[in-house]
Amino acid sequence: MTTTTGYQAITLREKPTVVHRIRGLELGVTGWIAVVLVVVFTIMAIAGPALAPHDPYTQDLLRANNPPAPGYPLGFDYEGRDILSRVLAGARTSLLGPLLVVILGAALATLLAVTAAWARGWWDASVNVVFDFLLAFPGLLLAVLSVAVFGKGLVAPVVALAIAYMPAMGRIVRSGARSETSMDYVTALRALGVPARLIVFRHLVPNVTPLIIAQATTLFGFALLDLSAISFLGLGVQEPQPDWGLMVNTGAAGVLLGHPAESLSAGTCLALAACAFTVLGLRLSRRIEGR
Amino acid sequence: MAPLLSVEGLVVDLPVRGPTGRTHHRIIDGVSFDVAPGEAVGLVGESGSGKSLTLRSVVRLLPEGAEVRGSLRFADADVLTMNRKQLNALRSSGVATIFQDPRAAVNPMRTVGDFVLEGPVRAGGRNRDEVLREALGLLTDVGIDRPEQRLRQYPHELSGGMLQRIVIAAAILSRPQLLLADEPTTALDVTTQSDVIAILDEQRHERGLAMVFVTHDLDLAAAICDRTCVMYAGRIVEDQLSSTLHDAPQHPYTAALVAARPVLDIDAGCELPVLRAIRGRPASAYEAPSGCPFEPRCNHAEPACSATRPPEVNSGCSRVACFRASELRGILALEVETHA
Amino acid sequence: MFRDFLLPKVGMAAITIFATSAVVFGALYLAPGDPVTFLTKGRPADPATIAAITQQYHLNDPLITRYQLWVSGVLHGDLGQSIMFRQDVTTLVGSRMPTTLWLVAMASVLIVTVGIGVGLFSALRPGKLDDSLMLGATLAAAVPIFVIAIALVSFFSIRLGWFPTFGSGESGGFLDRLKHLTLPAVALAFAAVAFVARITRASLREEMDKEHVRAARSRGLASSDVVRRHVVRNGFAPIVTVTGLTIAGLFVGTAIIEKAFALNGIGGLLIDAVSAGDFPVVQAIALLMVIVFILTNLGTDLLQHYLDPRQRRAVKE
Repeated sequence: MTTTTGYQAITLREKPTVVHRIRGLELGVTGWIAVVLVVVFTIMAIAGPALAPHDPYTQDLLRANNPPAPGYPLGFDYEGRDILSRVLAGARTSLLGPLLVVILGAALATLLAVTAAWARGWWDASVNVVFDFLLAFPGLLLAVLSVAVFGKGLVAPVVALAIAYMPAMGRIVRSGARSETSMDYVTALRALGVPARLIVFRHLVPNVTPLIIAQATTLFGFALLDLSAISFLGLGVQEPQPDWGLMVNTGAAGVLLGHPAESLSAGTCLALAACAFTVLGLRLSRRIEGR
Repeated sequence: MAPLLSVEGLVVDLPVRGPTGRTHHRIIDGVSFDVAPGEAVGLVGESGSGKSLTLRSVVRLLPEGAEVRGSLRFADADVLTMNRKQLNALRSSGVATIFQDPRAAVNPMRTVGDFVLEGPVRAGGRNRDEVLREALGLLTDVGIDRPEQRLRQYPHELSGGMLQRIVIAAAILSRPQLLLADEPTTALDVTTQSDVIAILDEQRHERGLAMVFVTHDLDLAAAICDRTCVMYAGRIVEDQLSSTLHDAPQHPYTAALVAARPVLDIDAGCELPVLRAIRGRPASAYEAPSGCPFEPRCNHAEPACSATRPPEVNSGCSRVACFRASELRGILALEVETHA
Repeated sequence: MFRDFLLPKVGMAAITIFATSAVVFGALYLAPGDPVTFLTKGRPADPATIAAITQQYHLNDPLITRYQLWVSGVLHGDLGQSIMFRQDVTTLVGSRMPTTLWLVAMASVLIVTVGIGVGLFSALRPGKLDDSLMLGATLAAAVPIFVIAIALVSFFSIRLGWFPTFGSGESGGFLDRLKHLTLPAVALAFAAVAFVARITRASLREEMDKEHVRAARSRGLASSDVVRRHVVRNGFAPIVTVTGLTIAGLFVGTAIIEKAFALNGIGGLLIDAVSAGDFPVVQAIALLMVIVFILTNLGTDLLQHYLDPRQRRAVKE
């Protein structure tokens, strides 16, 4: 009977609970701080405008660049609008853009990379050439160029950055999918006559999903940097819409007057959000590599 | 004669990063052995037995954060309390190490000549031209043709066997008294393994060098070592003359190792090699039970074996750590014999 | 060496530059609406202007002919006329070039000295300081450079008054320029320094764990010899690559820094041109930036090849 106890020990082990899974992530202290920040920013993006104590659009030139007053803890911007309300309301535009970049980029990259890894041959080669070519374009330059052609606003830069980020993600997914296709279970499924489409989307894609999530988290940070730069340069989100990148720019006048609250508060939000996503992305990638 | 190297009660703990922060795992748990001048001692064991780490401890080549206790004396100097300078002097002229994989042990970005001369010239402070002349002679001795040209080449341009001969030549070039060889043929092609072993053995004898030879191959150790220490779970379970180890093993683990070797039964025609695996999985020191570490896998274990750790008992020129060593002597010899 | 390595690499770079030029040229025709309306920003134009534009862009010729004419113009240094400045684009970009080159050069010096220096220090001295340096570097690499720019101005120029706030000081002498460009260069290099420091440390740490380094230690070599001859020498190739790529990426970053500090380099000019719809200027600067990026990559590849004997000889055989 001694030999069966080993089996029992394995089969009777509890199913991993949510707590176990979260512990299993082994994020470390910095990783958890990053998680908390990501949650806070997500809440801001969803409920920010509702949390704003004042209307972020109400101007009052009489109190332009005024220091903090009761009920207005961060003071007023150059048009006399409540800075705190604009920071809270700006979360949505500032974070929605990068989210769209990542979703669009991940979808494109996964589609191209997984099919390339599956089909190999000329399709794989062409996807590779496209990735190589796109890597010659710095993302920010492609975004600026897209504004020159399609006009100011977020739409063109979002699409441009999604395309620019595609190869970074695509290459990782492709190599992940490649090693996956050479596994025995894929050969077995093929031998069973399971259609390629089903194998790719029911087995291959789910198995490279952790890679995609880790990479997407890192790229979210980069997208936030690049898109906020576009808005900072006055090419993205336009006044009077609140946006962190734009606020750093419009607040620059206040900086010269010794009143840096607008620039610094929006800049701090940007920096914290970008740091949180970058750290979390690094931790997740390291976790997946260590697996 | 005073031993050249004397290891006593060596204990090594290595740091591990666990889910609950840093802890230490015991890898070597009280190892003692002596090496006389000119003597070759084999350290044999399965992977995880701590044989390589024991070897590296001799020149304190341990990972960051390792904790070492016990005593380690080389030519009457305490190795564990040496400062940087003394340690470098020991490494550059007293003891030379030959690593398992020459491809990994020689810097791929530098020329072979740079590797060969670096030790004696930079660490040993000897004259470059003189070392070069000696090196060219040595390389010829170990069977390297056109040595001048080889010295100008990069490691990836040479075969593994050739590179290992160069590593052996470089080790001898530093004029050590003791060679440490860490499975020096495991990473090589089977065809070149015996050549490299022959050269190592020849050079060692010619110069009267002592050697500690780590391997998992009992036969190989027996062939080129005067004495063989069998290690299990970070301890030496048996220490015997190589010549008698084979026919008269005293520890059940040694007997099992002997019996586990693949042997082709020539008399019975072309039958499959007889393989007798040892049941269970080899244990490391930190996961071994408190009694005899081999007890869970031993065919001769008694309840008493799991209670306390068996002491090392000396008898003549052998040493064994087994409670039942004396009563098992005949049985183990028989076990080995029926197998062979 | 030439046929097996140099030729494919240079060929690939040439093809990428060619394809890039097609994209930059074609972008004009991707724009919604007809090119004339796009180039005049939809403002009603008199027939003479329309005729001039049609003539300048050869709008009556087929697309492929237009592209050929444009490329041959570019190769002869003719990048068209700026709509905004009513000036030759080549002259305009040329006059703005020095500020940007100064900025990139100063930032590069910072990246190479501070970035690699911190990485080296951190790699060689593991411990609390190293851990916090690397966490700091991870965070620093994630802060937007325009936020750094504003923070630097707010503290060093406004609060302390050590540096001028704006302007590139090109009318003054060398020191004046240096003083004007210090904060912009620090801001431009900030994230890059942090990134290069992290890569340097990772690369050296990886090398330190290698068996050949242990072997070198086992031979009694002094620590400094081990580090210099084995760790640094071997870990250098990836550091060179990443540093090269990072410096190549600086040119695009100048667009942000030059706007933040109101400098008159080509990065700022690019943004002004995009805002004003001055397409010939946008095309010229975009093309220039991508070409610099590709050529820097190529140079890094070649250097890497030279540094690693395994690549060098493997190709030869």
